[in-house]
Amino acid sequence: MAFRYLAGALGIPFIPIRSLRGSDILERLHKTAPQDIAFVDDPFSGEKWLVLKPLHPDVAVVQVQVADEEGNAWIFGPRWDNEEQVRASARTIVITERLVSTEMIRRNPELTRIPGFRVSHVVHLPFSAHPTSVYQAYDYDADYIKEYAQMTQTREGVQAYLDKYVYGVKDHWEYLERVGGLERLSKLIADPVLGY
Amino acid sequence: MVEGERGQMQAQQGYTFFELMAVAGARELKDGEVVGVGIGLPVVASFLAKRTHAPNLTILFELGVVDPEPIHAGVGLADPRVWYRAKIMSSFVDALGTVLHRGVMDVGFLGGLEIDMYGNLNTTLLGDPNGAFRHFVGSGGANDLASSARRTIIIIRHEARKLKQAVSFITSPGYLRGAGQREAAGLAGGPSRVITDKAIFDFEPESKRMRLLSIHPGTTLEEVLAEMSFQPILPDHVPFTEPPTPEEVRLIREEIDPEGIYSGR
Repeated sequence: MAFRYLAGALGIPFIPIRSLRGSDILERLHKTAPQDIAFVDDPFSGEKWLVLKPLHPDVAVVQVQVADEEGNAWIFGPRWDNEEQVRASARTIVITERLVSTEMIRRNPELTRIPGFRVSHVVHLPFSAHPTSVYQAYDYDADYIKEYAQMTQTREGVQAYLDKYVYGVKDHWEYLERVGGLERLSKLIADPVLGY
Repeated sequence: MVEGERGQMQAQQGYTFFELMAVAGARELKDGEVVGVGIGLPVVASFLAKRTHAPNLTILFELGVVDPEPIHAGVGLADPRVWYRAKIMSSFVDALGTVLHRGVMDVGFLGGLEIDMYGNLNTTLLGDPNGAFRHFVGSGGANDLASSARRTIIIIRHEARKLKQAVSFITSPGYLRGAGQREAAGLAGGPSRVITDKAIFDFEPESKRMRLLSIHPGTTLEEVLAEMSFQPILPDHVPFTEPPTPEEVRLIREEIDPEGIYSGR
């Protein structure tokens, strides 16, 4: 998947890959997605290569720790395939924990992982990844995840969960109050040495 | 032998079978190598190797985290606890592309649901892929590691339902259906060791079939074969696996996995 985003980001027509050969994953792709895979001869060595079709998503959505209003964004910790995903996509929505001035971004431009000129929307929403974690910002909410796992054992429980945390709150701020507000959230704030 | 009896016997020996597997895995890693690991026992084995005979080992997780020194056990590779004190945090393309695909990953260290006599590994589903089956977490980076690492080491529980005549789904290719098949598919490398809680296997160079290399102390050949759905190649002489040293056991218990998260104490 990361390779397909990379091909999309580079604007190249396909990308050769050594993975998948000989596996049943490839067999399954032949049946379910024959339009996304092919074999070509390497024009230099003559070797036969499996190639994948690039991905060009309509929209990429990425969660970051720091961004400015243009969407220039800093990502701390591993960057997964966010950089390739954004560059492969037509539009990008950046969701940021902290909104800073462009002046701040200019002070450490080497930290900018997402280029603002490729970003279409910036959403400033603290604790927007709750109950999961954001490295160097806050830890995952293990108690909430346990509650979620317990409540969603049954169909009625799923409905009760949705009523409590999704339909039963008018916006993100009320959601944060429902999960315990500042008292609960402050306990999740990451230790700066540990990052979690 | 029932699990409880095995546990008691392990206590008398001064180590658990989990620790024996981790130590056996560690001893397969050479100093200076680059090893790609998933979560769990391969992590313990790699950290142990780095603290003993292989201080220059590079340990790499698929999301681009290199040589972390965690002090708290994480729930998975996405848990920042696992990244603590890493030297590098990069990306999938960096780890799976510029290291693994580039061909500089010496060892892929994998676990799995099922393995067959040619080292083909299933981590995707159990049952009939065209009929009723139960889906698991899929490949992760396992297929990439098995395809591009210079060799792979596999750790799996020693049960007849895991050591299969044929796996339900080839997630990660071993030697496919025997000699020459891996090369024909355009793959180098291949599985070098299979470590279970009863024995260690390698692959016979000609036929690429699994071959018994050593039996763990306290286990018999009959016990090894009784819990396999295929017959491995049996050399004339099969030694016992070298047991863990007290220092290796101490490192696992006191420094690498004090909370017993990986080793399930």
